[in-house]
Amino acid sequence: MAPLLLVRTVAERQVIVARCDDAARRGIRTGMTLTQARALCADVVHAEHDPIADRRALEALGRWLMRFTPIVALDVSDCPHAIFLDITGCERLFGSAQHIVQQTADALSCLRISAHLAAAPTPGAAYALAFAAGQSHVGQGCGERPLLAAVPKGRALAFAARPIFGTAAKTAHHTIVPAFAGSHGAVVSTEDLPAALAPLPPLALRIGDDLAAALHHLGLTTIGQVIDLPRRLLPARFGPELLLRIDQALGVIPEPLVPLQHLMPVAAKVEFDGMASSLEAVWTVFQNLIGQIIVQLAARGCGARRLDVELLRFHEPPLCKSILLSRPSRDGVNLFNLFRCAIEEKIHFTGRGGEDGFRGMALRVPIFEKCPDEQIGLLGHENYAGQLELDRLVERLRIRLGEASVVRPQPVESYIPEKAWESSEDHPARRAAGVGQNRLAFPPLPIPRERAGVRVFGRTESRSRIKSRPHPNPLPEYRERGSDISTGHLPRPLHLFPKPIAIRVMVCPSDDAEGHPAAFVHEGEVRTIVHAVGPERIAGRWWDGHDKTRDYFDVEETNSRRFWLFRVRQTNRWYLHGTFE
Amino acid sequence: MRFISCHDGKLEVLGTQAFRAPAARAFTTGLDALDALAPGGGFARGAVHEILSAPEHGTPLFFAALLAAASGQGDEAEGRKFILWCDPTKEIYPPALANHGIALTHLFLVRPREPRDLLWSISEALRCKGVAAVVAAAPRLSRVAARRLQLSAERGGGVGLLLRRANSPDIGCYAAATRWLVRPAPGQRTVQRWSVQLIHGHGGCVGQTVFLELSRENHSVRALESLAHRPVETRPTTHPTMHPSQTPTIAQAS
Repeated sequence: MAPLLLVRTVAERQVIVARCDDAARRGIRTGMTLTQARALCADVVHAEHDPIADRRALEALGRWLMRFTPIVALDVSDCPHAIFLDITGCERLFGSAQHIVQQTADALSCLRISAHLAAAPTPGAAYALAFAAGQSHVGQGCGERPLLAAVPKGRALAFAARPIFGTAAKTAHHTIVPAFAGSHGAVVSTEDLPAALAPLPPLALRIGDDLAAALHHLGLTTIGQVIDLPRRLLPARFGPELLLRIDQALGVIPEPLVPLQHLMPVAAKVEFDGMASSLEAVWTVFQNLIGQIIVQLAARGCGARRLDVELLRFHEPPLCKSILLSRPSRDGVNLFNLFRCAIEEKIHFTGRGGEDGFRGMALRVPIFEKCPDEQIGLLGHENYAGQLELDRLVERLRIRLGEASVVRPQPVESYIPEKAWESSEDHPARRAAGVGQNRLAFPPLPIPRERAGVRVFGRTESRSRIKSRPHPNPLPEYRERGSDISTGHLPRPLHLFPKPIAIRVMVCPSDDAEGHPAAFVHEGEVRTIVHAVGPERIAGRWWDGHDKTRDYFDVEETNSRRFWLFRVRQTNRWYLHGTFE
Repeated sequence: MRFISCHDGKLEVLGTQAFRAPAARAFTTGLDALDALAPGGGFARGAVHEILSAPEHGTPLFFAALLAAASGQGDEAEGRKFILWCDPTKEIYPPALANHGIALTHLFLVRPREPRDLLWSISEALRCKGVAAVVAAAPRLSRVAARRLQLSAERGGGVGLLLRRANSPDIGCYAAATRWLVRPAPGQRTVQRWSVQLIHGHGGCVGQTVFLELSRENHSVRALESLAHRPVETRPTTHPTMHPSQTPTIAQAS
C-alpha cells in the first residue's frame, strides 16, 4: 500500500503535517513539502488535512471511550491529539488498571486505530509515558507529536494514537495495528513514578518546541536530568512553564480534567398519580411533554426527525407509536398535530373505569438534527405561511393515511393515456426544478402520421355520415388543424378507469375494424350512441411490449353522457376507458 | 321587510341588504351567467359548496374542476393555490384536470381508504390555510359532520366542493353555502353540455338553470342562460340526411 500523507496548503506549498509509518521509514518527515516527499517516494498518496474533521473524530472516539470511564477529557493543556481517561475507581469494575489498559488497547485495535497507552497517577505523567512510547515506536528523531493520551487521577491512563485518524479514516485504510509491547500500555504506580519519568525526553512534558530545543542544547536529554537541577533555578532560566509541567507530572500541582459533556437523550416523561382516562387529559399532558422536548431541542439548536411516544398502561404493554418527519422540526403545534393524527386512532377508552386509561406517558426523540431558526421575510408572509401549513397538512395526511396515499401527479411524455402521468414523490429537488428533464408539460405534441407513424388523428365522423356513406374511407386521414391541436388540447376524460372495462359494442355500418360504435352495453344497460367522434388512433409502445393499437371514440349516448371507448385494432375488442363528466 | 333565515335549526334575522351584498371573499368563475345565479354574484370562500347529481348521470367532475380551478385564481386567493382532490378509487385522470386549467404542480391527490378517513381528510384539508379548494365525493354525512366541514372551511378560508348523490338518504343533511344540481344536457359532436341548477343558496337565484358548454376543440367553456335560440340537436337516426357538420357548432360560432 502506498504511503499516506496529510498535507496542508500554505502559500501554494503543500506542507506535510502527518504521515504514516511507511512514509516515515522512507525518510519523509513532517514539515517537508509534498514535492520533496515525492522525490523520496514517487507513489505517495496524499490528502488535505482537515483539522475540524480530526477534532470531530477525536470527540467521537472520546465518547466511545466513555464505556471505560464516565470522565473522558479532550484538549487538556496543549495536547490537541490526546484523550485522557480518568479511570479512578474503575479498577473495581475491570479488575485492575492493567485490565483497563489491555481492554482499551484491544478495542482500539479493533477500530484499527494505532494508539499508545499509558496509565499513570497524573495526567502529565500518563501523557509523557504515552508520548515516549510513541516516540520509541516510530524511532528517534521523527519529531512527531503523539495524538492521544488518557489519564486517571489516582491512577492515570494515557493514549497516543499516531495517524491523524479523523482524516486518515476518511481517505484510506491506512492504520497500523499497534504493537502494544514493552513500554506501550505501561501502568505506573505512584511509587514508581519518578523512576518511570526520569529516562523520558523533556519534550514528553508538554513543553514547547523552543524550550525543548534549549534543553537539548544544554545536553539535558531526559526528564531526570531536569529534575536533578536546582529547583529554584528552573523558572529563572526556562520560564515558569517547565516547573509547572514537572510539578503536574509528579502530582505536586493538581491538574483537573474537564470531561466531555454527556449527550443526554432528548426525552420527557410523566407518570400520573392515578389513571388518566379522558382524551382531553392525555392531550393536555402531551402538549406539556412536547413543550419540554422543544425546550431541550432549542437548547441544542436541533429539530426532531423522529419521535417515539409511549403510553404506559396497567397490566398491558405500553402503547407505542413513532413518527418520522421529513425535515427537522421543533414547532410545538406541528408536532402535536402530527401525533394527534397518529395516535388518535389507537386510543380507545373502554369506559370500564379503574383499569382503563394510562398511568403515564413518555416521549423520546431518538433522532434529531440541526435546525436553524427560520426567518420569515415581511413580504410574502402570507404565501409563506400558507405553504408551511400545506406542508404540514401533507405530513399529517401521510402519517394517518400512509405514504402512498398523498400523491402529486406529474405529467409524463407518453401517448398511452394511462401512462401520461405518474404519481411522483414529493421530492424537494424535483419540486425546486419544476419538472424533470424528460418530463414535458402535458400533453406532448402530436406527431403527424407521415413522420412518426405512431399516432393518427382520425377524421371525426358521425354515425349519420357513415350511414349516408356505406363505404367510408377505411384509413382515417391526418387532419391538419390550427393551433388548437399543437397546444395539446386533446379531449381526455376526467374519470379514467384504472383498468379498461370490456364492453359489448354494436358497430355501424359493419362489424369490422373500421366501423363506428352505434350502441354499447354498460352496467347492464344498452346505451345508444348519438355522437361518435373519432377515431383517435394511439399505437402501442411496441418497444415496451405493449403492441396493441387503440382507436379511441368520444361518444355521447342518448342520456347525454359522454364516454370514451376504444377498440383494440388487433383483436377487434371494445373497451370502456373513461367517462367525460 | 325583514328576511329570516332558518338554516340548520337556527333562526337568524337578516338585514335587507344581506342578500345582495357581494360576499367579501368570493371568487367568480368568469362565466357571467353562472356567477349571476350564485349568491352575491360569486362563490363564497371559506364555505362548502355541494354539487349534486343523479347516479345515472355520473359524477359531475367537470363542474367541480371548473370551480376548483377558479378558486385558485384572483387576488382574493392570497397565495393559496393548492387543490386537494380526494380520489379513493384512483379514477381521477390528472392530465384531464390540467386541460381544465388546474396546474398539476398545485394538485394533490389524496386517497383515503375508509369513509371515516375521507371525512377526516376533507376536514383537515379545509382547515389548512394554504389550500384553495378541496374536492371530494362526500361520504355519508350526518348533520354534525356537515356542520363540522362548514366550520373547518370557515376556519381555513378555502373552498370545499362536495360531490354528492342526489338520491342518497342523507341528502337532507347539509351545511353548504350553495348546492348545485348538475345534469348532462344534449350536446353536439364537439360540444358537451350540462345543465346546472342552483337548488340552495341564500340570496341566489334558486331554481334557475344555466347551461355550460365545453368545447372539445379547445376546452373553452361557455355559460348560457338557455339553449332556446340554438338549433335543437336532431337525432341522426330520425334525420339521416341531416349532416351534423351543417349544424353550427359552438367552435364555429365562437
